Amino acid sequence: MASTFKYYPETLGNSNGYPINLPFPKGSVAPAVNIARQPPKYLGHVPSQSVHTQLPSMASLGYFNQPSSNYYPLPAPLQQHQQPPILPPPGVMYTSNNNNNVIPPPAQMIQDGNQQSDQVNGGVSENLDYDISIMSKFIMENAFVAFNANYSIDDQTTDLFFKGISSVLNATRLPSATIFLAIDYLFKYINKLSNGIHSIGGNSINIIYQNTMIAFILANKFNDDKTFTNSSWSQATGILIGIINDFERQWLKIFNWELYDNGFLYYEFVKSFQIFKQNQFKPITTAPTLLSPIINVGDTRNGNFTLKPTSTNNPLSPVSNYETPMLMSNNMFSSPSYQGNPRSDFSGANSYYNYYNYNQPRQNYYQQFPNIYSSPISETQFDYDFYNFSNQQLQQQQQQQQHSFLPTAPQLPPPRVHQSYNHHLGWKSMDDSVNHSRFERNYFPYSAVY
Amino acid sequence: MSSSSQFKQLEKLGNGTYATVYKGLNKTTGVYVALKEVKLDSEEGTPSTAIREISLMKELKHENIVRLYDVIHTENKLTLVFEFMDNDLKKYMDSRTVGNTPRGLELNLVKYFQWQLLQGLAFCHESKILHRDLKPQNLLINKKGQLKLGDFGLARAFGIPVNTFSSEVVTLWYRAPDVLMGSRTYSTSIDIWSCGCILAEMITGKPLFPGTNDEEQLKLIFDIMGTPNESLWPGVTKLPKYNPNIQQRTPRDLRQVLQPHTKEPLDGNLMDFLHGLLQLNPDMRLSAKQALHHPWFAEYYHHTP
Repeated sequence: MASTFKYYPETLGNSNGYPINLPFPKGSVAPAVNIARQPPKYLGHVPSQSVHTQLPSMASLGYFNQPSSNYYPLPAPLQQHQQPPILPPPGVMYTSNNNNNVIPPPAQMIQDGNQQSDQVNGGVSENLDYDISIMSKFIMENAFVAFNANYSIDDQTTDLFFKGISSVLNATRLPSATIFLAIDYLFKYINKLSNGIHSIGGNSINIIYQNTMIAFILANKFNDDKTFTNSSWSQATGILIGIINDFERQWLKIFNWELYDNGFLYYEFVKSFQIFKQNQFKPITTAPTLLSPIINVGDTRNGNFTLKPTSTNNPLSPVSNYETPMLMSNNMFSSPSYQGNPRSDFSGANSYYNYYNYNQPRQNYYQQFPNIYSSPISETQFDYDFYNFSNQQLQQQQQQQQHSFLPTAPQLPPPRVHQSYNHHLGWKSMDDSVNHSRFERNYFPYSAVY
Repeated sequence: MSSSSQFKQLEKLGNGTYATVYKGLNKTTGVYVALKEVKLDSEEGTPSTAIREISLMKELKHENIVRLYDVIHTENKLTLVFEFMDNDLKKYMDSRTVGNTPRGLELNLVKYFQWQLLQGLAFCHESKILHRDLKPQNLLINKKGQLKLGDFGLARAFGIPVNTFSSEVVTLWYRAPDVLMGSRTYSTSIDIWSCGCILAEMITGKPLFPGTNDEEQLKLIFDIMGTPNESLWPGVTKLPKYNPNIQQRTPRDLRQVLQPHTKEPLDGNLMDFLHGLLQLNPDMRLSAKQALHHPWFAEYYHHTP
């Protein structure tokens, strides 16, 4: 474990070095990664379209929030070294708890170098070739697939994740090509890790967020003529600069600096995004529920696969029952491994997944139950869980491997400034010795979401 | 992956755009290398120039492209270990200046260098990489007469459609007129224009278009190559920085411009070749591959497959 410290330069000591970036719901306690020790608590109601149920998966997020009418914390005061010169004050987006938030006008980042004169309004692209909201969802879904995470689309945590990404896109105005490249990097990165996502601490929402942002940073530095410094990125993402620098270094090492791939499947991403976009506007024609593959295994084997709109209480697939907004086409995450059995016009839309071939469990799953793919599933339905069926196992493994994670929080040197916070305590269990209010103030002085 | 202790740092070779270059000795192999040291700034993170240069050069293994052997990434320093080259083309040409009079290279050497330049460039372009900073300083040469492309800090991949190309690329004297007029849709032809400028400079020993600002640079180009118009270059008037009031010039005879500065006669093949590279209209410029097949290189044909 000590050997992993080399990835964390001393600069960390200057920061409030802790890689949690997403704001916590007010009243929540700090992240508890060791979910084995503390059973998940009832979370209360997830947003209105969802089925009420337990959310054990939240445990993996490290969120043990109590039901509360006030989901979002007030922006903590900025610390001096984090004063953002350009971005709007944090918390601008905390205006409501639904997706109808009006995203504030983009506050753009100042580019590195002296090319600002080209574009007064900053950001990489003058004219975005995508809708930020749709692109953010697209990124989020892909990131979840990359991490084999099955967070419900409409719970508040993913909503924060979504807003965090929107905010970053607003600030940076990355071109779509760079975003697609970043998604490509994200898949490749996980594929290159010797132990997959376990090598980087699992798939908590923060880990997904941080790594997605590093993917953005590297794609921007590689692909765009307008780039940002890591400190600008820190301001835009809410991730501490020490963390960004460390992650960047770790990524480059894992990639062996080989960020150029002449065979990058750009047009597959374009196509996939196109389909994704189209499906955003399709009316819901059937009950938009998630499939629950694990409990339906028997059915599928018999060629009798059916949707289970409200199936609940299955401990194996607890989060699979959420009603999903019509974010996704069912083939959005179609695995290339069933090419011989196309189930829709869009099959193969995401043939870039084929390219990564990183997610063995997912592929095995398909190979095991090939007749799933021939089931006529409405395009507006969301079979996200198909691709994340193994999340339960992953989480269990994660629990067991909490102490061997490579570059994430548990190995960070204890932050220097935090008198009140015991680093290890924080990750093991959130017992009463942690001062919650101070915790919030110290650890999330700068939220990911503006 | 090597460590910095493996290399003995010798004399400083120069300052690059974002780095300092030293001569180094690989203590285990006894081979000289060039060590390009990049200071890391925690505010900036890893410089995009380094990220580009490393990731692109790792792909570019060609005898006319300087080889990147290794990368040593330490806490506050990034060291790129390159193949050692004795000199660069700029210094080499400078060293031949007699008094204040620059002197061009012998035409057979010019041809050999140009051939190698285009070989390296063709490989870049085939690999979907633009160099974007071709100039004599970035062409490294050795005592065997080999020439290799170096400094890929401004390079970028162009396989992905791009809408954010910067026009702040290529050192002014070697910058193509389309880029000078604000085009952001340039491609491989941007490097070809530079190759044309370099060829003329090798012949005469002095830069062909030594402008001091964008405006003067365009003026110098048009003074010799003529002012472009819609019939010669469809779309030119739509370029962001196109100046409709610019004084109209007719093209001068390039041979008459260059011949006074060299003793050797400039033949028709050479002039035709040079014109192929220095087309104002980027679409009319030769590609690197086409350039290599130009009759001016006929004497090399039977040497290469």
